[in-house]
Order: sequence, then C-alpha cells, then structure tokens
Amino acid sequence: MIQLLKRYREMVVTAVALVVPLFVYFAHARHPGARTAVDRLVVSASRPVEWLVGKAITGAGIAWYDYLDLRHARGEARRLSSEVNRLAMDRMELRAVRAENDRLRSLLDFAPAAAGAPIVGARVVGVRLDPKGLQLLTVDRGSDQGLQRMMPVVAAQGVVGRIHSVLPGSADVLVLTDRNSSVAVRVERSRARANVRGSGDPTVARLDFALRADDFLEGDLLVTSGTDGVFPPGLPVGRIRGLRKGGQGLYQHAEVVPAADVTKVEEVLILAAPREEAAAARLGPP
Amino acid sequence: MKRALASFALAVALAGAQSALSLHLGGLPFALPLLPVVWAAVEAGLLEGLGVAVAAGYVLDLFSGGPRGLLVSLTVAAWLASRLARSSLSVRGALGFAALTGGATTLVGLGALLLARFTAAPGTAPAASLVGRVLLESLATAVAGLLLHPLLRRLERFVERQPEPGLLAR
Repeated sequence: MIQLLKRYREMVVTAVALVVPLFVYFAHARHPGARTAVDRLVVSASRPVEWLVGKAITGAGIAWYDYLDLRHARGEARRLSSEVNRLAMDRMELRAVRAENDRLRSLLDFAPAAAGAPIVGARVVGVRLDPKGLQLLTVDRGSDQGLQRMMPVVAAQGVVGRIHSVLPGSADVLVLTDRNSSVAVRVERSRARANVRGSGDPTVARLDFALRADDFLEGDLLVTSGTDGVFPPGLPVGRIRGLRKGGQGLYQHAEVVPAADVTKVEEVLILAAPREEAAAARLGPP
Repeated sequence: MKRALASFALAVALAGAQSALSLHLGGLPFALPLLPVVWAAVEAGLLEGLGVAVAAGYVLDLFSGGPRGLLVSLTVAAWLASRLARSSLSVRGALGFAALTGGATTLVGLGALLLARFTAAPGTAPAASLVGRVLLESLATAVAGLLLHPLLRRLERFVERQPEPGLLAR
C-alpha cells in the first residue's frame, strides 16, 4: 500500500488538493466562518499595495492632465504673462476642490436623514466586484474609528451597502447589488413594502416579495423601510424598472436600478451607531 | 518552496493592485492572483506548481469574501488544465500565456458560478447573466497577463532552481 502511495505520490497529492477544499467548501458554504488572524494579516499586507497602486494611478492621471495643461499653457505663455498662467493653474485646482466640496456637501445634506446616528465619513480605496465571490468596496476607515459589522453605508445618492468585515484601518462594504444582500424597502409614493435583493451585477438589483395586489409603478422610488434592523427608514435605495405581473402567482417582479452607482462612488458615510443602539433608536422609548 | 512563497507574495500584491485598479476602471473585474498559477503551470514542476495553485487559491478565496475552499479547488483545477494545455499547445510566448490565463479565469469563474448554485441559500443563487461578467473578467485578466508577462519572466529568473554542484564541482 505504502509502495503504491509512493509510486503515485504526485497524483495522490494533486487529488487531495482538488477534493479536500471542495469538502471544506460544501461543509461551510451556508455558514462561512470569520476571518482568522492569519487571514487578517494577509489582507492587511495587501493594503499598502492597494494604496500605492491607487496613488500611482491618481498621480499618473494628475500628471497627464497637468501635462496637457502645460502644453496648452505653453501656447498661451507667448501671449500672456506668467502670472496669468499661475492663476489659471490655481483656478483648476480650485475647481477640483470645489467639485470635491460639492460632493462632500451633498453627503452632509444627506446626513440628517440618517436618524441621528453618529456618522463616519470614509473614502473608497478599493473595489472588488468579483462575479465569483462577494461584491465589496474597501473604505479607509475601520475598527479604530469605531466601525463594526452590519453598519449601514450610504452615499449622497442613497444606500451603498453594509459593513461586511473590519480591520483596524479599513473595512469591506458588502454592496447593495451583491447576491447575498437584501434590504427591506417601501415605495415612497404608495408605501407598499418589498425587498430589494442584489443580483451579482453591480448595475442592477431585483425586487422581491412585492405583492401582486400592492401599488407598484414603473419608475417608483424605493426607500428603506427600517424593518430589517440594519438601515434606518427613508434612505433612497433605487428605482423600479421592467415591472411585470405574471398570469398567476403571489408576487410581481421587477428590476431595481440602484440610487447609488457602486462602481463610481468615491466617498461614503457610515452610520456608526452600534447595532443594539440603532435598533433601540428605531423602536423608540419603551 | 521558494517559488510558492514568491508566488504567494505576488498573489497578495496582485489582489491589492486589482482592487485599486477596479476602483479606477469603473468596477472592471479581474482575477490577477491567477497569473502566477498559470505561470507555474507553464514553468514549474508538478509539486511546486501545485503549491503555487493552493497558495493563490487561498488568496482568491480570502479576497472574494465567500466561503472557504471553493476557489482553492477551482484554482488547482485551472492549474491542472493549464498544465494539460501546456503539453499540447505552444504557450510560452506572451500571447499564448495571455490566452491560457483567459481560459483559466473562465474555468474558475464558470466553475464558481456552477458550484455556488448548489450551495446558495434560496433566492441567492448566481443568475446566468453573471456569465457575461465572468467573460469580461477573463478578458481583463488575459490583457493583464499580456502586460505582466515581462514581470513574471523576471520573477522566473529569481526563483528558478540553481543547478546543484556535483561531486567534482567545488
């Protein structure tokens, strides 16, 4: 037997490497465990590369646009003084700052709708919209800033998702369009209730449990109902598209176009009330 | 061992890089940690390559955020398929490597969608529409393979086994 194993050692090792992980997967597929210390270490090790590549891309973009500006400025320099050039550059910088300010201001305008929870602002530093796994955004705030799992994450346009895992200086956000994400919603116009479930495609989600008898219309705005214990009520989630009622069945079906485009979102707010506190705030005084 | 460690470090770095790249490319999906796996299938021996596949599969599993084991197994399968392809196709050039990378990414992506259908909770099974995103991921990863081919060649020089001196050598 041992001779046989030695003879076919490579084949046996390969078969083990193929089959054992599959057993592990099928055993834990419904109840994935938390990250171990080694997992956290490996993820943390990737963060500097993520940061460096992000900075390199941003820097290259800025350098390219600066180069274009300089080429343009060189033509102008023949006619204008260097002072005008400097002012033009300043103006460009100010425009960029103003655009950022506008985005941040709209985030702040949005903040009062968030049920008085303490709010942590964060920047998106990574995106993993992997069709094989979970759809995650990485933000530059983590447990050091008081973030915990399941905290709601919103952008100025609406719901982005919820915190999925937390490291000291960063956190992963499970986005609204992930297959495992489900948000309890109401139609803003008619107050009819349903769920919005992710499809795995970052541009579209789907409407679940929308009763046939309830009042849903194409283009209706869906807002959080607050009944799922995660999101406070009244936050925009998305708009109904492709509404269809089959000949029979309890429910009507539709796609939902998310209010916040997760492929483009740059800054987010995290409603940082601990879960028990947030739930108590929504239930009101006893 | 040296190759497996270097490939693991590279896979972690590539996973971080793809996250930042996706952010600036509108959420374009990549599977960059598969690059060292395909490279090992082309260049490394069996047990060495298997070590690389398991290490990169762990990284893919970790960064995908899903339950453990699925992507390790599929990465080993992709490595085996790439080894088989290596023996029958000419894949040593950059274009051949990119094509093999695209094929391996498709295999892992479609395999993951298929197996996830058996285990997903009711209502959360991946839809057939995600096949399009898997193909997009394969294309993006193949292009990245083409661009990173010189880096992997450089890495190969670093990890390739030195000939052991014989009795007559000092």
